[in-house]
Amino acid sequence: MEYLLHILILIGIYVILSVSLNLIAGYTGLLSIAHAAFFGVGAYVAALMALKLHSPFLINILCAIILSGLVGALVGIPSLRIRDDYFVIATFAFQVITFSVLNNWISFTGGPMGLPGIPQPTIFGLRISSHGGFLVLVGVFCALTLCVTQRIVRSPFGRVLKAIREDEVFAQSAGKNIAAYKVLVFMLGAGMAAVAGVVYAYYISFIDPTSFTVMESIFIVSIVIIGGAGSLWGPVVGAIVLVTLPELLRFVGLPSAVAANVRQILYGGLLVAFMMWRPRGFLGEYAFQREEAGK
Amino acid sequence: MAQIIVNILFSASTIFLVSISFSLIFSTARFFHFAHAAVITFGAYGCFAFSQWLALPMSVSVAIAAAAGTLIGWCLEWAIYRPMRRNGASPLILLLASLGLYIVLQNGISMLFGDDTKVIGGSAVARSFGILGARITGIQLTVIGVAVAVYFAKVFLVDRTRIGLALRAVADSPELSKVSGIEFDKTMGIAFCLGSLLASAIGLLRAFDVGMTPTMGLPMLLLGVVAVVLGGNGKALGIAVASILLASFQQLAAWQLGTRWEETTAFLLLLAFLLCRPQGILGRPLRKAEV
Repeated sequence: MEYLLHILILIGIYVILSVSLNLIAGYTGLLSIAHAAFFGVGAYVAALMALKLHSPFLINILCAIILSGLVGALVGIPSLRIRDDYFVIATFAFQVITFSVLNNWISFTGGPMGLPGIPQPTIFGLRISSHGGFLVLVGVFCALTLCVTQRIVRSPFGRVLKAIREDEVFAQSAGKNIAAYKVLVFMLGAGMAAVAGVVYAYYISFIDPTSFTVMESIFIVSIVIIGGAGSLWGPVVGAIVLVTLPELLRFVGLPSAVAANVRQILYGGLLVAFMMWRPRGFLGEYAFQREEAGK
Repeated sequence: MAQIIVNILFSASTIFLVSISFSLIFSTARFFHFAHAAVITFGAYGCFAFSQWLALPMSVSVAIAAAAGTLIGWCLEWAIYRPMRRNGASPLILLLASLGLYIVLQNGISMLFGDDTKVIGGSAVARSFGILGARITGIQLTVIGVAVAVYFAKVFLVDRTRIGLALRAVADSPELSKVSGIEFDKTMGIAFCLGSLLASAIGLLRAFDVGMTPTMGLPMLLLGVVAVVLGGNGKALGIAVASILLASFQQLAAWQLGTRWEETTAFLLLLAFLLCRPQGILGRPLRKAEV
């Protein structure tokens, strides 16, 4: 039973991560391989505040969102000057730098030793300690993320995001300040990813840099793309499939020494297969290419 | 002082070789081929498998490993990228597929060989020489020599031969090159073969120097990509200048801040260039968007 709850909590965390990345990559068309960095910033801010300042959960989550949002703005700025694959490389660089700071700034982040002993959160006098409690917490944040995302993409703001994705120059010529939109969408996405980080840190109660690597970023990108970029429910489907599929391997009786490798081969292979035969993913509306006349 | 210069020369040579191998593919195929990192790793492990498992002589193993790396690179192009291109896949889709391929190949190697550091070669390659008060090992000297040879080979190949002409034509305009009777798929295959050959060679040279792990390729490739972006126009000169700049920066960072900040410095340099001078040191300005 605890195992099942654990899987559901993990799915919830990845739903928050992939829905927020979808806002950046799926709706605005800015493919970013830096999402695990925002995830990590959220987790580390909350963990450090809880451990060093003993501040309450809600304050920590607020600070994590704000700080991660600011980092998000920083990552969004290169998108004003460079595009497509060069932008992917820039986000890649941010991801590598963030990991390296978490890993090497030992006096502050604990380095490879990580931060152990993060206390259980208390919200409105209610202490969350069981798996069930965390599932409710994750569920609430999932629902909030989906709600906010739905409101955003159905608003005029969301329409401009899609216009930037389809034709940036056209959106600009219609008088939209695309620079502001791009930076803002990065702040929003990064802030939401921080929520997932905070919940993750409190849930596992121990964080170290290996949870926030380039590979993790690629995993989140795979969820969005396999589920379907640019659709509200696509990333939810992707998260359910990609988190549960490797778990099924346990029941096949795979030795644990190779289980991690097989898990990665599985999602790497899925990513290749989807790119070859169905770049839109299960439910996607956007396939990372512009429709060109005459092609 | 002499030691610092030798160190910079050696690490610049490594970066240069990786980025030339990457740029051979990148400038022709126009997408970031991340699985290239796995080809680098593959060169090292191929050599390990042939020399340790099959007990072949080292020179034979090196040759077979380089050939096998070339074959892997060409297979990726032939089996994955070519059908995708036919379906009109954008560079971003090819990039995502190559990320998936990298993950599959890297984990395959890690399952087959284990995650621990493997070493090949013996004392013969580790013997060091003294030049003007600096120490340098035989293998490091080889890497610098290979880099100089590759520089001239690349300039000759691209500027003076028919293959080079075809590569440049496809890079400039795929449509126009097809009209002019250049075999597009064949040229692309040649680019992947040359790039992969060089990549597996640098991978196994690296393995002789510091040993190998299944994840060794990605950091090497990323530095190579940084040099390609910094170099700007895909020309050997630009990449060479960028490699030396990058290597000097890393040495400076290692000396001032400690070796663990080397990678961070390289990527900060990349971001600075992408923001302030996206066309690189010697390149022309990029187009912002096609209207």
